[in-house]
Amino acid sequence: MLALEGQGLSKTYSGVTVVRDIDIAVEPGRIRAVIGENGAGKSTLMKMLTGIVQPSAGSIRCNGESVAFQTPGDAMSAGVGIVHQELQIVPTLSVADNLMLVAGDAIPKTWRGSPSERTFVNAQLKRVGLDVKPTTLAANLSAAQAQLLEIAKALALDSRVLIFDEPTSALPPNDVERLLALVEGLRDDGHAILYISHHLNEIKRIADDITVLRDGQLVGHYPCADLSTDDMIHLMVDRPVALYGNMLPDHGEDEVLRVEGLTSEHVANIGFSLRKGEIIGFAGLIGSGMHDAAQTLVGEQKWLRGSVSVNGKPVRLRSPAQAAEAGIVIVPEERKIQAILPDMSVQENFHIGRHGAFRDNGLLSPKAMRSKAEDLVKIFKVRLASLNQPISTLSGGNQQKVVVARCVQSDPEVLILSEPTRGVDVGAKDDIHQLVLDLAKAGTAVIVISSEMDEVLALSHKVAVFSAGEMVGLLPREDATPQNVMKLATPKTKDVTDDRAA
Amino acid sequence: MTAQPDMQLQPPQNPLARFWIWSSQFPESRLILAILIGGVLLSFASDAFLSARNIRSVSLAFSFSAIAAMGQLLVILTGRIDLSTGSVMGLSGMVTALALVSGVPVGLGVVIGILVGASVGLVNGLFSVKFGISSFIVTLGTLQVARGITVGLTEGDTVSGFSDVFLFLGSGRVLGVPLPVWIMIILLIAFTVFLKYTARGREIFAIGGNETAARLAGVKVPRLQVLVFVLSGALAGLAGVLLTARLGAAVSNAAVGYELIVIASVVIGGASLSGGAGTVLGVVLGAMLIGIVNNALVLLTVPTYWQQTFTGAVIVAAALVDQMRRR
Repeated sequence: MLALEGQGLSKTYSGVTVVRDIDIAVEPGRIRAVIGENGAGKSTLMKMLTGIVQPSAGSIRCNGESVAFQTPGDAMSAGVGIVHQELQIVPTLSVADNLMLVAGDAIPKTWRGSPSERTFVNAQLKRVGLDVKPTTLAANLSAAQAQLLEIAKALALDSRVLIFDEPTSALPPNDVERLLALVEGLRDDGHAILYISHHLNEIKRIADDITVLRDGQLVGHYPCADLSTDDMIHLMVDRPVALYGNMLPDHGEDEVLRVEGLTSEHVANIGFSLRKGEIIGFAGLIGSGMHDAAQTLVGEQKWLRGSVSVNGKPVRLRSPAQAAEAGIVIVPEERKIQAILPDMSVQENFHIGRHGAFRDNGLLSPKAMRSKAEDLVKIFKVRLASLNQPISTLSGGNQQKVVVARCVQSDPEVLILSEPTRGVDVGAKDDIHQLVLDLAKAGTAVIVISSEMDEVLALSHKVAVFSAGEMVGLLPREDATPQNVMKLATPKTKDVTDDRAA
Repeated sequence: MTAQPDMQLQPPQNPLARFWIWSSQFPESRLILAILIGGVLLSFASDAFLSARNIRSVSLAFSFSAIAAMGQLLVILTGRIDLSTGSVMGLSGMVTALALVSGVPVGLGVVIGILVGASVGLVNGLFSVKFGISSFIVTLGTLQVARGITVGLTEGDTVSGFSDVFLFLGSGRVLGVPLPVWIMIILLIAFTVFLKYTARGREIFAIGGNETAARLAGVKVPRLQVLVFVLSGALAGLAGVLLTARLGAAVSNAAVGYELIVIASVVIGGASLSGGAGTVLGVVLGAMLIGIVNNALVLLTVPTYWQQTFTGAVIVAAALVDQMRRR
C-alpha cells in the first residue's frame, strides 16, 4: 500500500499557478527523490503534502485514506513528518525541550524532565544517533547535530512518512555521509521517504525512485537505476548544462590586491596577492574561517593585524562602505540574512548602496534607475514578472543574480563571491559561473568562496585553504587537487581532542 | 518562482471592492477616504465643523504633531524608535523661550531651539548606534532627562512675554492659512523628495528593510542612523518652538505624552514599526485623522474625561484596518 499519495495536486497563488496537476506517491521502505530547478515547484509540493499550504486542486491519501491536512500538526498526527531546509529549532531551549515541543500526545504530559519524558527523549535521540546530553542547549549544537535533532523531531510522532528538504545543504562534507547512512537506515526500517536535494550524486547514491519536476509540472517518475546524473540534469532543465567547464581566462600581470598577515577575531594569517582578471578560491570545511576571511577583507570584521593594499595603495578598511569605495565589494554567503531586502522590490534591491550613480543635479533620476534595472535583468538573465515584485517572490537563483548584479554595477576592482551558488538551481548556477568567468576576462579580480570544493577548484587560478580559523596554505592551480586541499583543510587531531575537552 | 500569469483574476464589479484593490497600491488613498467620510458625517452632525475657523484651528492643532511625526517616521523607517519626542518639544520650547526673554533675537532663538532638539537626537543616535543600546531604552532615558532639564531650568515656572514677531510664528496667517501649517506643508514636500529622490533617503528604507544587507552593500549605516535621530530631534525641536509661539508661553509640562500621538500618526499613516515602509504624506494624514477625531469629540460634546478613550480606540481601529490591508 502507498504510504502517502497526492493526486492531481495544483496550487495557485493570486492567479499564478506554481504547481499544476502533479501525481506523486511514496511506498514504505523506499526513497523517492524529488528534483527540479528552483522554482520548479518542489517546495510548494512538499508544503501541500505536509499541511503547510492547502492545495487549490487535487487530493491527498495517507495509507489509502483520503485526508485534508489543514495544519502541519494534522500531517504530523497522520504520520507525515518533514525535515525543513531551514532548521526549525529553538536555540534557547534544550535538546529535550525542543523534542517535547512536537511530542504532542506521543507520551502522557507530566512535568518537565519527568522519568517518562527522559526515557522518551533518550529513545528518540538514540534512534537518530544524536550523541549529546538531552539538557544541552540547542544553540550549542553543531550544524550536523542540529540536523539530527530536526530529524528526531520529525520522527517523534512515529512518522511513517519522512520528507527531507535539502538536508545536506548546511552540512560539512564529512557529516553528509553519516546523514545519508541514517536516511538509508530509516528506509530499511520501513519508512517511506521523500528526499529533495540539488546534490545529484547523493540522490544517485540513496534514491530508489526519482520524480522530476519542471516549471511546476511533472516531467516523470523514473527508477533511479535508469538515470545518470547527466540524465537528471537534462530532464530538469531540458537542455544540456556544461557544469564546471574548464574555460578559465588568462589573467593579467598588474597586481590589484595584496593581503599580508591579515587577522581578525575569527580568522588569522590571510595572505595572498591577486592580479587583474585573476580568480582565487577559498576552500575549507564549514567553520574553517573562510567565510570570516571574506567578511574581514571588506572590513565587516575588525582588523587586528596585517596589511592590505589595493593597486599598490595601502588601505585600512573599517566598514563594507569603505571597502566599496576602495573597490572591494562582496556578495555575502547568507542571501536571505545578509544580501536581500526581502519585502522590497527587485528594482530597489538592484540599487542598494549604488544610488550614487543615478544622481542628476543632486536628485535621483527614476528614469535612469528604471532603465538600468531593465538592462541588468537582461544581462543577468533574471526571470521575473515585474521589477516591482518583492524580491522574496523570486527563486533563490534569481535572487542571487540580482545581488551579483548589484555588486558589479560599480565596476569593482575586486569582487568577493561568498557561496555564490548556495541553494541555487543547476541552470542559474551555470549562469553565475559563466558570469564569474566573464568578469575575470574583463579584468575584475575575483575571490570565490564555496563549501563545494569542486566549484572552487573549477573556477580558480589558485586556491587558499582555510582550517580551524586560519589560512593554512596557498595552492597554485596545478597542485589544487581535491586530495591536496582536503589534506590541508582537515583540522589536525590535536584540535579535535581540544574540542572534546572543551 | 516562475510567474505564469495565465489565470488572471477577473476584476470584481463591485466599485467598493475595486477601490479596495486599487487602493492597496496607495495606502494614503484609504486614509483620505476615511478623512472625507468622517468629514462629511461630522459636517452633518455639527454646523461648526466646516466653518473656516474650526478648520483653521484643527489644522493648526495637528500641524505640531505632524511636523514631529515626520522626524519620527525617519527613525521608524530604519527600524528604531524615538520616545523622546514630547520631552524634546518641551525642552526646545523652553530653551527658546528663555533665550527670547533674555533678549536673544527671534531668528537666533528659534535656531537655538532646533539645535537643542538636534543635540538630544545626537545623543540618542550615538548611544543607540555606536554603543548598541536599544533605541527604545536610550530614548526612554532621554525622555526623562529632557523633561527633567525643562522642569529644572525654571523650577516649574511658566515663561512668557514674547515679541509679536515670535507670536506670529505660532498664530500668524499667510493667505488665511496659519504659519505652522505652511511650515508643515513645506516640510512634507521637502521630506517626500528627500526620501524618494535622494540616495540617503532610499538608504534609510534599506536600513529598515535589512540592516545587515544594507551595510554589506556599502551603505554607511551608522552615520545615516545617527543622522536620522538628529533630524527627528531637530523636527521635534521645531515643533516645540512653534507650540510655544502658539501658546504664547513655555510651560514645563508642554507636550507631555506627545510622543504617543506622534508614533500613532506614523503607524496610522501606514508605516511599518519594523521599518522599511512608510510615506511622509501618510504620516501627515495620520496626524490629521487624529486631529479630526479629537475635534469631533469636542464638537459632539463628548465629556473631556472620556476623550482619551476614543482617541485610543481609533488608533487601534486604524492599525487593524492597516493589518487587514497587508494580508
